[in-house]
Amino acid sequence: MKGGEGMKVFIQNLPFKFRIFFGCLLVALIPILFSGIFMVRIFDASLRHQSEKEIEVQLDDLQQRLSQLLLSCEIISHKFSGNHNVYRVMIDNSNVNTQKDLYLFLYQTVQESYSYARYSIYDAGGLLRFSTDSSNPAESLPAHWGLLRKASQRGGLVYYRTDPYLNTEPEILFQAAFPLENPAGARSGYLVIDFTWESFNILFGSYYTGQDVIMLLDQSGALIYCSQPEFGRSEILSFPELRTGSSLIRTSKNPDYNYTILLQKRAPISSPAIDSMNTISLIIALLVLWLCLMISLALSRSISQPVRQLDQAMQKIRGGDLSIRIYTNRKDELGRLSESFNRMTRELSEHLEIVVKKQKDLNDTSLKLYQTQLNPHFLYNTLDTIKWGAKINHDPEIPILAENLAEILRYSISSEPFTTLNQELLIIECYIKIQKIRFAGQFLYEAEIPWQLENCLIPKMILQPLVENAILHGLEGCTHGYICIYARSENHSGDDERTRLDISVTDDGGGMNEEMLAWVSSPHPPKRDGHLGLYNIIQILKLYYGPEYGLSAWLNPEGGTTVTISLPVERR
Amino acid sequence: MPSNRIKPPVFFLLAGLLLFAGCRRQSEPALPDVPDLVIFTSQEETVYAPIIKEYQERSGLNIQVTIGTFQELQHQIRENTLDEYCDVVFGTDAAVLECYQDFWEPHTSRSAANLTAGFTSAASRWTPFSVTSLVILYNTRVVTYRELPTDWSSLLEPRFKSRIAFMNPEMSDIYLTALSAAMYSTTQPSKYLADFAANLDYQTFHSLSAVTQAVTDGRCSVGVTPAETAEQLRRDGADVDYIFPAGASCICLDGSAVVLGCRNPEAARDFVDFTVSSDVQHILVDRLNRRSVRGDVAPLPGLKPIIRLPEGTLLPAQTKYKTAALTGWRQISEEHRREDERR
Repeated sequence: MKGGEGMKVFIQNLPFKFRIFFGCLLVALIPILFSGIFMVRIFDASLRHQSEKEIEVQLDDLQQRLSQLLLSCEIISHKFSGNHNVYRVMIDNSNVNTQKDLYLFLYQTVQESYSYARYSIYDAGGLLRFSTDSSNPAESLPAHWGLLRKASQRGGLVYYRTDPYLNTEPEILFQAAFPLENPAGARSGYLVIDFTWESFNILFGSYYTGQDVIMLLDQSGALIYCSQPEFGRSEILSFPELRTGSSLIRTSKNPDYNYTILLQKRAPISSPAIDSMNTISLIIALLVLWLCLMISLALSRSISQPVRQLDQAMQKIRGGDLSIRIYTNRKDELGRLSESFNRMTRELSEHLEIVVKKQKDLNDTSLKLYQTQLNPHFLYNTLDTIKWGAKINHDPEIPILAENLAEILRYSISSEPFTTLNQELLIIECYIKIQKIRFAGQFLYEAEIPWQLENCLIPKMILQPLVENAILHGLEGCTHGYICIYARSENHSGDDERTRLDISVTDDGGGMNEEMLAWVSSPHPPKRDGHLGLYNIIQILKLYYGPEYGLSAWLNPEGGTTVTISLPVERR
Repeated sequence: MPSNRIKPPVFFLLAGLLLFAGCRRQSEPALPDVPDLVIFTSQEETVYAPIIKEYQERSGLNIQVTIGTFQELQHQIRENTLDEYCDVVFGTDAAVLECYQDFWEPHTSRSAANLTAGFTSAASRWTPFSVTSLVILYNTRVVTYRELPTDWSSLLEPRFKSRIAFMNPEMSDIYLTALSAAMYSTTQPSKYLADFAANLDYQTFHSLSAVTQAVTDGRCSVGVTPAETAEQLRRDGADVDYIFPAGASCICLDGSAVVLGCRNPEAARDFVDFTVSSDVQHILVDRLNRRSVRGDVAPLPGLKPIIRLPEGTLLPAQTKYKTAALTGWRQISEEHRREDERR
């Protein structure tokens, strides 16, 4: 189980490329290998099965022929035993006519099996008397040894594997002998039948080709006949080794005579042929392996390369490099994925640039604001000194100026960047008090803020520059001016987060000129000398809330100018 | 909890194995071969094969033949595995049988009364099989009357150099006996062996028939053969004659013995009796050119009756002589082989 788990973990840990590679390789290679081996084996097994059937049939035929031959020998033997002429000739061989009759009988009787065997008649002492063999038959056979002894002892037709060392004719492989006895039971001689190598060749010849081997074995397994004359003794002795070659060997034992016939046929597909087929299979397998390797490699590379590029690009993005791009010519899903990735990184990069720029601008603005700030404690103390000095000297305006200025200062240097509208209006009140002393009641100020909007959050000190602008520029030259701050909210979608807050500062003065109106209302007004306060307000609004918010101005019909700050409603 | 389900890789492996196993070529059943009698022999095949075949015909036993030299027999005796090695020792030098008589089962043959007394075992430990006297055969067309060999020392004469037909003593017990007899007929056996091997030009033959053939066709002038073989050749009209070496006639007596404690003692005793039966001894004389150990079986015409042969002196020393001769022969052959390789 551990091995299985280990394998599973190993496969899971394999890189994507190798998993595709090995997967493709196995899917392509295993069926080809299995089918190759399987086909060769089945082909071989099928042919062998067919050959085995043929061998069985051939063996039956061979046995039948052998049985018929031996049966005909027995019939001939019995014919001889019933011929009284044989016994007379054995006793008296001086009568030529009797001898001629016996020869005639001999040839007539053995006519059918003449080509298969040679027939001879030996007397009781083992001397040759008659023979169908015209060449050189053995002049005598030992009567107390071998064939004749066996025939004498057992009676009837006996068969004998010829002893190669005592036989004067090496051609004779197998013999049969039948004891001839006269009617009184006395031994007169023997009918001897010789089977030569040629005899068996004629008998079995039509059943084998030159490449097949037929062997006839006696009861003890000793070789009587082998169809291959070049088989020496060593080949016969190494018979078991022959069986393991690329040949089919089947044996069949004759039920009547106990002789075994062995038939060895060449295998339908020889070992070299099988080896060749295996070699070809192996070569094909190697070619397929090579092809699979190439295709798998190309396929896995084709799939894994974009994925790997994406992975590497993601790694770089994780490291902060948004400039990475994937270049591909592919038009498939992976190509589209790469393009989407490129688009995503491009947009992310642009967005980040905007954010960074915003932050930078905000930092610049904040820095400039901070640069305008003095040491607050010093200013407070100074103002406090001024206030108390003025009270001691009974000057009523100076304390008011000092106190409101101190409030404004305290408010402006607080760390909070946002404040409520209500708080902002209180600071505006302080500022108005100072300006009223400066301009000695030349204008009237009021604020109309719905109570629902009092706690709306706005950037700190966002209204003061507008009020200052209205006093200094709007009411310039007016003796009874009017400044009003009012606010309203608009909600077109019903969503509170999308509610817009408009805070307007209006005056009834001479009105802003057209160029100034256009500058204030433009979405991205350039920096302008003498109007840094307005410029800062516009920048703060756009940086905090986006380009859709900002400042707008228009001339009132009854005279004067209204400047409106637009920003989203946010509450603490 | 272990799962009993067969994993796919294991399944495929098993399927593959079954596939291969199923398609393997069928092996043929081995032939049953449990012998009823195991015979050890150091005889030539022309002698032992007909006799064993006839015994097999008559008895119907399944017989296994083991062929070896007397040295292999000695090795089995020393290893004390003779009873597992064979049941009966057939046609082995009687001197060896006498030397190791404690390893044989006492057995008196049914034909004991007909055996020549001088060639039997005193303790009935072994039974004689055949006897032969070795002669020097010569080709009468090649060797003139004046050049006739007389004794074993004639084989050292320079005129016979490379023209002596002699079978390899490592392969034939008879020729080893002849070699030891020749060596120990002189006062310097080692010198005789060295000179003889040099006169042979270190060339030997591998069978008795090759020896007789070489002398018959004149390739060799002289050769050493059993007297019966020489007589048969002469009777058949070959241009050969033979002499009995003067002074040291070489009588080779071989016999059979039942191995003590063997697996098939009954069959072994029956076989030993068969080897000295009248049928076998007649065939031995008539067809196999051997001399019978039975007194009632006459030798080939022209050969002395067995009782006129000098009796064998079956001393254990003969075995030592043969061992010494074989060792010396092997040394000389090895040295000659190395010298040939150096050249």
